[in-house]
Amino acid sequence: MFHQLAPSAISDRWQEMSVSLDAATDIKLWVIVLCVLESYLSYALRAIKESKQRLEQERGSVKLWRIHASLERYRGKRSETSKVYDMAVSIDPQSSSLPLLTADAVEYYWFSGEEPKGRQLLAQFLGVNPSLGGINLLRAKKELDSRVSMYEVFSSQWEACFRLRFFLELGSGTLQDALRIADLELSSVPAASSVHESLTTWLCLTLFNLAQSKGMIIPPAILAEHTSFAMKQYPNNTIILGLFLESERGQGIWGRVRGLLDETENPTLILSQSISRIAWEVWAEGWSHGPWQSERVRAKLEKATGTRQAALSTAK
Amino acid sequence: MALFQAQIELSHFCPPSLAGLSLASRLDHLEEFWDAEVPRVGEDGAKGWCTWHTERKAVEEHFMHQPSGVPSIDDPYQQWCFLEKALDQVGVFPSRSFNEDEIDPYSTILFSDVRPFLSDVRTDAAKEYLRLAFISFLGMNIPGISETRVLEEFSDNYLNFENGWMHSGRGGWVANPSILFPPSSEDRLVTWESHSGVTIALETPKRSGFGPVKEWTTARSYLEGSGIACEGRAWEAADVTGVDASVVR
Repeated sequence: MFHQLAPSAISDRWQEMSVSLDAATDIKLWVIVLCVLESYLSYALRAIKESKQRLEQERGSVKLWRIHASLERYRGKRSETSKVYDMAVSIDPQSSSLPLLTADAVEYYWFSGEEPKGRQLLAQFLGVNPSLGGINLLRAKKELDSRVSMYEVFSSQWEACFRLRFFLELGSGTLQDALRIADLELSSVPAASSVHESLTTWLCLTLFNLAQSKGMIIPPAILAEHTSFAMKQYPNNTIILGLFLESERGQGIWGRVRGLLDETENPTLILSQSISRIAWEVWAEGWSHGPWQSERVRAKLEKATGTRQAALSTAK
Repeated sequence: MALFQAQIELSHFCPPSLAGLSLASRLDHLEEFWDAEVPRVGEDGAKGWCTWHTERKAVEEHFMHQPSGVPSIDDPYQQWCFLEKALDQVGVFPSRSFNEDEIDPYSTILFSDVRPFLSDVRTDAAKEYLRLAFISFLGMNIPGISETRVLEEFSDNYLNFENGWMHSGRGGWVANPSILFPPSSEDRLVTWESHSGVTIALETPKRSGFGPVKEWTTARSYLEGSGIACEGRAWEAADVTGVDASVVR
């Protein structure tokens, strides 16, 4: 399917999906082998091998290097991932995929606790001194504004610049400064659009990953506040829902999670829920805190089935 | 499956010389391709309607694999269940008239069966949506696709109603529903114990808040995950359970 339809598929996403499928099916095999042999084996070898073969044909393709770096990240090979990122950011300064690659690399180093490396790449992308202070910072911001103006508004390159701006502010100031700028820029994106959802998800996830990384203390209230706001806007987004659960972990307040799942407090909840949200709630019932209550889940599923059938009948 | 194959051949592999014709005329030409019973999109060796129209080459009879045989199961319901599951794996494509399946004679799909449901898909957005709908139909989860609306331009056809293509996919449900429920062994877990008369709750197992259900905006990359090692991507090992990856690939 992927191979046969590739010539007519114009979006970059098609190649990412193909590689993602390779990695997913490959890891099944290697998990089994790992259990049997009880030895260390690399995951997604086939996907990596095919990626290398594609790169041999197109060594100058920043897009393909970006995909390859993602595969190495998935394998957990930090040294290989770093090598790929360090090399790929210098291949083609004019490549339209460079902002995305740079944003990925900066994020990777920041989350790995290698902030200086992330700053260095960011400075390299903007063509300024890595110190990111004083006059250099002003030059960096001006250069980033200039880059943003080159790209179509709300394109993937524009999104990458949004992410880079966040790390630029974070690297030169405080988290609150970075969030203030990010929230301001996000307010210029049409609400409920796919770009707005993508950036909102990214921002919440970045806060979470920064909190998980070494040396970065994120006040729990900041993540909780952003996540709660995002949940209201995008109630079916399972990443945001997962972040909500993570932010509630250890709080000892099961009521907030119960309240989210309890349709008696939100009678219209089921009507507005997608199938995936219902599936997520069934899973969340067994996530934590106390024995799993099968009757609650059964009642929820019965109600969801009946309500959706009635809604579809009315619509027809 | 036949409907998707016909729709994709029509929208993605239409010969350029026929592209300007009316839908009815194009369907007449597509019927010739369909009746030639050469490999169609998704099948091994498929080259597309456009190539066939140009070359008009006869190909070897394309044998569709069918279940090798019914095992000796006494229970008729279990036997039926086995056959149905086996057909899901090997009988995913329609059979041909020259190797019609004796077990399921209706597995050969005539063009007249699918013709009323074919639409004129022209825009890039609609074609992209069709491709994703097909992948969803093959069992892959496409996060966000059920919320996408790209068919407003088609006012009166079957496929515009409630995103008809998406009803054929999983629609957000998981490949293996059993993973939504905690393992039965956890029901028997002791949740508290007493030490010197003091009741102490046991530490509950730490599970990630990112579960098996994956639904988010279509703008998100398929290589992006929730963690630094890209874990929690749209497609991981558990997400391809029961999917014939060779067909999707």
